[in-house]
Amino acid sequence: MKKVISVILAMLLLVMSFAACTKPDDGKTTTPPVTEAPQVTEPAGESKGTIAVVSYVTSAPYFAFGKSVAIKAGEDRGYDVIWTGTPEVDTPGLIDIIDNLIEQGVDAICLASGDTSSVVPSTKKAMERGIKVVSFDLDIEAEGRDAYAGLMDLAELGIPQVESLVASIGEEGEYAILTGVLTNEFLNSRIDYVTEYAEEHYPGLKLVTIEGQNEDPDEAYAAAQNILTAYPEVKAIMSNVSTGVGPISRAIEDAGKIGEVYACGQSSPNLAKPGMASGACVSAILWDTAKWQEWAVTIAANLIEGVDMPVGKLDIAGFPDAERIEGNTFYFYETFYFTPENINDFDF
Amino acid sequence: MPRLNKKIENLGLILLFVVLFIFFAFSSKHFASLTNIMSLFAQMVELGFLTLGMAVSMLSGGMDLSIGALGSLGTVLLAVFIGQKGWPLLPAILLVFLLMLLAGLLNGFLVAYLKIQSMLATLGTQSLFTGIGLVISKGITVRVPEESMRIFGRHLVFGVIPFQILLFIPVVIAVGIYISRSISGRQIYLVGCNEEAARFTGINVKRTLMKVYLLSAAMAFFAALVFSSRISSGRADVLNSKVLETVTAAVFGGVSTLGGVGTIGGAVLGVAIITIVSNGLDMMNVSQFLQQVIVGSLLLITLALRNLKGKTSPFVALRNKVCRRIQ
Amino acid sequence: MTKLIKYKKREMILVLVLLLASFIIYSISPQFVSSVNIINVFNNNALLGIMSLGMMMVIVTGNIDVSVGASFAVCNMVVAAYANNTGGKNPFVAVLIGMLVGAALGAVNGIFVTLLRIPAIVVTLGTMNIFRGILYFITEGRWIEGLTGPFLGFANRRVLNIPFAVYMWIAVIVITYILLYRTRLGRNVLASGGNKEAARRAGIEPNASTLTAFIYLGILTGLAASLSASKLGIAQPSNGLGYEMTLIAAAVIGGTLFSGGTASIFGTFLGMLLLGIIDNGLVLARVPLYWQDLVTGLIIILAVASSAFQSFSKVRSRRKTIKIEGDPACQD
Repeated sequence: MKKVISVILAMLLLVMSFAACTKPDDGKTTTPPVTEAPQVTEPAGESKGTIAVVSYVTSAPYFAFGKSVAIKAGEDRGYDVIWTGTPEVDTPGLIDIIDNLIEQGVDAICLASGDTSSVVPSTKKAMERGIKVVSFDLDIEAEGRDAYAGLMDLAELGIPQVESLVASIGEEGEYAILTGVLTNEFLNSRIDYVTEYAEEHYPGLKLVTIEGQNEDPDEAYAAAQNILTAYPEVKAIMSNVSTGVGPISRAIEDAGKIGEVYACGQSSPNLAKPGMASGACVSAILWDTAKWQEWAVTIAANLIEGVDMPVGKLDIAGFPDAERIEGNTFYFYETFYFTPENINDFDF
Repeated sequence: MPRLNKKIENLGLILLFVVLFIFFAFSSKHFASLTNIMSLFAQMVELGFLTLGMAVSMLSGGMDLSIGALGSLGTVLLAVFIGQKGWPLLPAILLVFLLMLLAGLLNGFLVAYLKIQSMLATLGTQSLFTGIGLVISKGITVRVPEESMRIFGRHLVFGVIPFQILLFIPVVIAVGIYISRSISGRQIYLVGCNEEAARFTGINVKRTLMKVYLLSAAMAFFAALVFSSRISSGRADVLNSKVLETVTAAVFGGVSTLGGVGTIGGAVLGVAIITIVSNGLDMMNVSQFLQQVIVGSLLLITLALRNLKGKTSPFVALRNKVCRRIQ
Repeated sequence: MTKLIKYKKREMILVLVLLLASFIIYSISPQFVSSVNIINVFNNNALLGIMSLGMMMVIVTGNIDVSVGASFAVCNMVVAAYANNTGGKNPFVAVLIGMLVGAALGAVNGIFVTLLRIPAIVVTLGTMNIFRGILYFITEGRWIEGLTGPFLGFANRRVLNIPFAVYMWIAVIVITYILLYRTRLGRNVLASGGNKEAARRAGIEPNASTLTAFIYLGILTGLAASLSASKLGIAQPSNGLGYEMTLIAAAVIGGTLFSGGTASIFGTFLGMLLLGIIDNGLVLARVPLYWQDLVTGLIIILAVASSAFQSFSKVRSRRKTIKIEGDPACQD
């Protein structure tokens, strides 16, 4: 029995010590009891409420870069921000997190999910409880969210990738796509749009293969090398994830094919810099991933406060091109085209 | 005597659960609400089913690493039959159940008849099952119309109790009784303790191992049923992330990785503790990264304390004791 | 002696499977046997190959390490941070630091396993979460990129057209062989893996062997992580996810038994190569993306099933008896 008690005490100690070094719970004292609709929040204290920003791989730089930005965006509007999500792809975990946020009675949930449907039952429950649900990154099914805070039409998101390909190799030649996790719907739908757009506008381009990698640079490097061997005629390898261009460039460089094969597509600018310097990459694209989270938080805050956002151009500070289109969809249109000339102006 | 030890250990886990519960109830005002407690229990269910399967395979001296992939494949099959093909619920569920038992047979065949080490065989089938799911679904998340499968994962009985809990409890009791009371269940322990000795006492080891992997596949099926309803869709890798968590839960509950020791009740308590920790820490807004650290530390501390007594590892000691008793 | 033949047999079967797979891939895609591709296959699996020998060592002692992917990420980040701060001036020191960090993490695992006598899979499940969680918490998921200087790319520097990483793999194979079969330490590792009690009675301290094995895996992990950072010039905290299963698979396909006491360095090498050839061959043979997992699973099952047809049951039953009485087979 002594043993059991010591186990319990040790655990308690551990839990409390960890609890002590994280944010105290009193940040949420202004949130109403779960059963009440959050709109009736009494504005006690300085916080107007809580907005949760949830993403499905918080360990990925793609999302991690947005943490401080999202928190700041919330604070500027007078909201506490809970920035959370599953460290690695873990759908059951993600759904549990959403359920737990609902129980905490947050006022809004900004959610990036790896697919469009698995979170919908949970977000619908949130909406029934009066929580505003804003999807970002990949949109989820319309019935499961109040608004989609997007960058632009998903279909159009494929266009800059193809344009980056054309800027690299011209309008003719073979290319391959290196994507991420196979079941990620955002990535898959982007591939569909890329191929569709390329076939329509640049019939000279030929997609020879699509290969995957689990967002692991070593795997991406190996996959790129395999593509170079399997398809000797290939002229470009397009990355469909923001971490791909770096390893692809290295593979091209190590194969001695600089000038013959190009890395292109999506990339965080910092990862593209070495490739741009060596000449393995001359064009890449990405959007401001951090600003996307700021955008989602802004839309969520506006929804909570009932700010009128009519269809058409919107006047939202910091988002000059903001627009609402039909279907509760909000776009802020901001894509970066990276070239060797401008790449050093970016740092993320 | 060992059974008494086991009881004390489970009592300790129950006590721990209660202490954690009280701790979280005081730390977060959202934690102790009725809805959250119900959602806490609901969150236990998928992990719970998978852990049951894992625990049984661990009792038999193996480890079914394919259980997550099999569960994911189940969600895909359910989603395809019910969502895409629009079959009525009952035949679809029945067919998926049979298909998954078939997959369990494959695991059992590899382990029992080809005598491949269980972890290795199931590493292979894990890839295979995920692959089949990917081919069937082409990597997309297959949708199920929400209403058709609602009952298994999102229905509240009397508006309060999640249905899946009512599904989980009888399964736990059934598996628990089968494992601890029936002869064929006890044989699993003996095979897990010492396969050779089991063979000498006239136990059909092959049949016993087949049963283990069939049972494990059945548990994966239940997890798939509940989870595909909870997300009203199916995806080829949706439950893969749970595999190591099931091992953690089972070990927490006192199931030995060496085989032959542990109880179903303990495994379920392990699930309960892992779930309450993650739910409670979520309620306190502890970073997910720290939660990983906390779960890891909890596991180590619990086992370290459990092992403090005795010269040889109590795991081995207890195992030997139990084994001797059964023999 | 019969035992020796038995293990050789398993390796022979693996060689046959490898040749068969290679032939199939070759018949679809002749580039497979080009020198460029063969070097690529070796180069791309060198890091995992190096680590798989450490994993084999741990499995030989009757333990297992599932935290190795997380350790890889930690070493990867530490090395990259060092190289970044010093401008990559001193690759040797960077690798040394990586190996030290790896050794420390391995020692943590080893100490938990030996002192607290917790089963290794449980310890490493715990430390996996702890290492990874702390790393994420500190880095918040951010990567380190833009490594420069002599550190960048030294792993890919070629001598006789073969990258440095491949030489390291070969070197580690040789070192492991010497360590395991030519030193007292190695014999202790082999002996203690079979039966702890018997080993103890023979005056061998199994705990020391276990600790050594974990530290050895840690060092190799640190080495591989440094090579990875050098090869790519980037490090990210989510690196190494799932490596543990690949490594375990490589070692066990190669004939190492989970119960410990048996080692096959050549088998582990072949196991790693098989997994690497599958990865490479799937692309070269133009297997559609969504079929790749299925094919991988099938090949693994076939490979292990075919070697199971040998008198595997005897090995297995011996393993079981070892646990009760003592191990007559562990004396080589």
